[in-house]
Amino acid sequence: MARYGMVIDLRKCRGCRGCTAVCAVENNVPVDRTGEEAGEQLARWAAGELDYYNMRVLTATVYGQIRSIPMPCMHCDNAPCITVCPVKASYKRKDGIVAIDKDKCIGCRLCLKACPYQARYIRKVPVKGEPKGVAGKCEFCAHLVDKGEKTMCSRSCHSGAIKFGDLDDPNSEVSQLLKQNAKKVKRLKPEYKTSPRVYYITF
Amino acid sequence: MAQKFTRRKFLKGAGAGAALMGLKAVEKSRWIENFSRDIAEAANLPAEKWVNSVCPYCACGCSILYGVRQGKVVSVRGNPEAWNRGGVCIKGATLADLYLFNSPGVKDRLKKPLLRDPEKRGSLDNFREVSWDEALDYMVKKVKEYTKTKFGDKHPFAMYGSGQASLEFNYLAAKFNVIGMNIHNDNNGRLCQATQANAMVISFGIDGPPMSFDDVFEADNLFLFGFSIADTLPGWFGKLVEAKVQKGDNLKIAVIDPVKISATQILNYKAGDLYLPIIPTTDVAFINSMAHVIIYELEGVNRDYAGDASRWADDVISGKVKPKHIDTEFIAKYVNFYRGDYQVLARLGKEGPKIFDEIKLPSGLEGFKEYAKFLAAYKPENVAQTTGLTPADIRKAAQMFVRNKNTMSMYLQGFGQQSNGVSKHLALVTLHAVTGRLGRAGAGVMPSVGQPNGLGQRVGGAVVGRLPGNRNHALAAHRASLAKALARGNQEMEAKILERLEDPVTKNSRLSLTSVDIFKNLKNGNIKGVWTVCNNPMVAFPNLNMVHEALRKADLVVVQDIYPTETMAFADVVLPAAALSGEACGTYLNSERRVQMLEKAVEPPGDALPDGIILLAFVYKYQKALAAEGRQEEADFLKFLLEPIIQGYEPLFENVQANIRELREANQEIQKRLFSELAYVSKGIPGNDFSGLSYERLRTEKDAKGYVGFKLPVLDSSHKGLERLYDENYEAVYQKRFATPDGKLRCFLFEQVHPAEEWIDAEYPFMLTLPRIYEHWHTRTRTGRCAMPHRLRPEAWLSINPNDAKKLGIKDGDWVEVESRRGKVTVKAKIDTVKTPREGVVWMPWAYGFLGNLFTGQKEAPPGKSAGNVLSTDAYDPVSKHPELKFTAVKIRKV
Ligand code: SF4
Ligand code: SF4
Repeated sequence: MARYGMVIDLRKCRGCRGCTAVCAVENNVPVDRTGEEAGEQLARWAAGELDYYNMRVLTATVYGQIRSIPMPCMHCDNAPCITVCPVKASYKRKDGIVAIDKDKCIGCRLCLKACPYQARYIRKVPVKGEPKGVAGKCEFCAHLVDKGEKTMCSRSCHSGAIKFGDLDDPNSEVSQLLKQNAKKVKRLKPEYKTSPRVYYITF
Repeated sequence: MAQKFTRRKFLKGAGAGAALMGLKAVEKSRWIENFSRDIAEAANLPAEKWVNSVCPYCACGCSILYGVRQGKVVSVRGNPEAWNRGGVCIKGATLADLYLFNSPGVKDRLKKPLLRDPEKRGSLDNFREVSWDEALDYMVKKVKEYTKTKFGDKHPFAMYGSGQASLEFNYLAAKFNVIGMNIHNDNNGRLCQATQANAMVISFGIDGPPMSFDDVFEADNLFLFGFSIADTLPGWFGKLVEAKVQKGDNLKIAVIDPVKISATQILNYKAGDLYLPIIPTTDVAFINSMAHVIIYELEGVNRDYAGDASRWADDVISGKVKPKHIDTEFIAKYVNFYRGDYQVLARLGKEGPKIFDEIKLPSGLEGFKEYAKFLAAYKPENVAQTTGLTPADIRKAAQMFVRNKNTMSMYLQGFGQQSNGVSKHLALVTLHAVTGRLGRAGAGVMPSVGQPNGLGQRVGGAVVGRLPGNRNHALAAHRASLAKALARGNQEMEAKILERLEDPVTKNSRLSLTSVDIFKNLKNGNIKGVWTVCNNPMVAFPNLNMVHEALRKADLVVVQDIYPTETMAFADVVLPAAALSGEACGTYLNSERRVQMLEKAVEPPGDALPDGIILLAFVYKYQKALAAEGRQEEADFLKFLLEPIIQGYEPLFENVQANIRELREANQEIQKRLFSELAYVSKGIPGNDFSGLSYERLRTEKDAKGYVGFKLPVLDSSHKGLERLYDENYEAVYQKRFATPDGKLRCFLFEQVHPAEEWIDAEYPFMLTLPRIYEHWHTRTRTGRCAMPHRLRPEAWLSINPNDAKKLGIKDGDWVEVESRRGKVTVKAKIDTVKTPREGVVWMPWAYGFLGNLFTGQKEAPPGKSAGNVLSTDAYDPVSKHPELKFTAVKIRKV
């Protein structure tokens, strides 16, 4: 079975936040696009009141130059968020995706604290059919992946900074990228030993 | 260790309550197959179909797909089968916000034609909803009076059109405004690419950006002049970033810009990339100085000839010396030289290419000798003060320019929006030509475009100086061939068409006023009324106080748009349009000459109609009214021009209100007719000929790279377009290297010319520039109603260099008053350490008007206390009439 992961080439990211925006549309973050409150929620988002994303882009100025890091969920193989979940709502799929069972989630926020990457948040507005106040996070567009497609962010980056694919397949684009750039590949916060499935190619 | 950490962290943060929830058991990651209910449910409602379109924002022209479900747009994605390979920036991605239930994008849409007394101008809410026919009849009644007199070459009524309307609409505007009704017509392209278009006509013989987006992969050196590409054309910047990563330090980049634009983030200074913070308006001095360094220093004129370029050139001509960087073969074969003279060039539009004779210098290498001598004065030390650049930096730039073979320069508004913009392009082309760095993959000058159909408005013929097929209005042969193509064999009509375009006696062009002059004359009362289409001059135009007065003074102001705008506050008639991207069909031409199809995804709201249908309905009614009044000849002429477009649909135009649905349906066919008519008309125009294209091909075929859309020219029904103009492939097709009569490039010896009517002094010591920003498109009419763009940039600001701020005692976030010779605004200061302007320069985004916050509805008083264009000058380049939006003298005061 495929085991998915992501390779993000930081040299190619120019912090445009296109990935954040397409993800927001695709995954109803932070507003529920399906419901009748969509307009009102949009205004709350615009006003800064709703402030959570599955794909965040952090920017910093390093030696006077802008550097950006797109941050989805790292889909760790050793995921602290799963370990802490008291009701087993957080789980890992066989294909490597860390997901949340929204029906089980009790919104206790433990996973928010446990995640060293701040990938998780509590939804202030529920998506239709979901219980209120559950945790949310990037799920590697599992609904698309299940159909054999790629994540929205990786399809939409103008400079091709984000690549998604099967890390177990040595011929996949992501595996090849890791091989070719072996010296430049890093994962975030290795000291937490979370074993992330998101790899970064650095400068 | 990870476990320990989480446990510790949990206990610290969550407290005893959570500990009760049975955490003990959770020690290991679980592996559960198909545990969840279908995740797809949590995702956006799935689309039933995906409809091909193009993003309505920048000139990248990203191909997008509208996801449609039950007749509503539910999503927007990039099209993977297009040049952008699925890419979209936040503007394109958040288009979906405009269709969300109860969002400002839905609630604010203009749905009915609106009318009011001119005395009531100034607000947005005292209109009365009327039928289409009432609104159009009101306009017809007024316009038919105006067309009884003339101002200039045309009747005193004007349409101010847009590079965001379709190619087909722009063709309609040319056919019916410029020719049919003989009224003034210019577009917002005047503010954006008039300099590029005019300058290209001068150098190459015809308009058309000659290079491709992918040329950045072929280049060895890239020069970015006044082109904040990361913000204004993010899609293309994506390619540039890729090229830089792919080629590493084999691709050197120089950014020449008074502001440290976002594109500088990819520079590698250690490897020799350059950021040159030039003083606005001084590019010609810099370019000539690079040329000086190349000839006098790198070629050794100073060393071997004691600085006598004349003797050196003689030796080059006789073959005694073989220059390293100067391409003598290219010069001899392809280059004519001219003296740079603004006064003479300014007459080109009216009098045609004969004016070039007045400034002609010897051709080929003899002309080059003149150029070499002319450059003597441009020693880096001599221009250092003017340009604000160190001689060392200029020398480094010159060395980079001639490093390896392929140097590509690209430029946009920072170059163009200045009253000496044309001279910059011409000086730059000369440098590229003499060094042989032009007309090859990865080598040349790429004057870029800003709007999604910026080029289409030129190809359509709606910009003064351009005629359908991107003909040169100033060229007698182009006027004649247009008249012939439109007359369908009717000689009387042919003569009539020609008469609209040229004076039968002097053979001078008959031209419409250009944008700035339209508004100035509106203010003076010479022009009676204006009809703006997809345009918001009350924010985007230079010198807003002038626009404000003009709109108040006008007898008739018609605004055709999809949302209320600042301009609408001064309208008498409001015409609700269908959004071309999403709600209508048509084509756009992007900055690399790619024609792409936009298909209709959903029905427009309310009574809104597609742009073209609105103009046709007006012309139809106007023509009837003329006939009823006995102005038969004018009416017949219009009827003749209308016929091939609306044949079979005439009854629908009799009662527009009753036939809204049918007219929307008819638009699909009418647009197709317009496209094929223009395709036919474009035949034979070098670089712009798309006689081989049809809607059919755009819908079903892909180009040579497998992308949707084709790059002009497309010469026959099996041709897949040309990758670039003026290279060997072009020469093979046209038997000429350039589109000038003798096939040679026109190169100019231009001195640094100083800006027309603006100057820095003790009272106004700062230079203000007004760039576009990444997050918003133009005047925010749409992006201001999308959450992320608004959230990131809710209001205007002034970016200032930290040293200047210190001198003025300004802290980050302080309110400051910025005042120019024309007006003042009050905004928050931002001590900008990222997009830092050089000392003495400040910048403000020009996207903000008095409608303020489009989410909360919080307004300012017109013309706006944070509208950057209150400050700017409406002085323009004498040749292109492109106003000086990138240089305003201001003073700054903390309030
Ligand atoms: S879309 Fe690409 S370039 Fe833009 S922020 Fe995301 S990863 Fe970076
Ligand atoms: S604004 Fe430009 S770069 Fe962004 S999606 Fe639209 S066309 Fe592409």
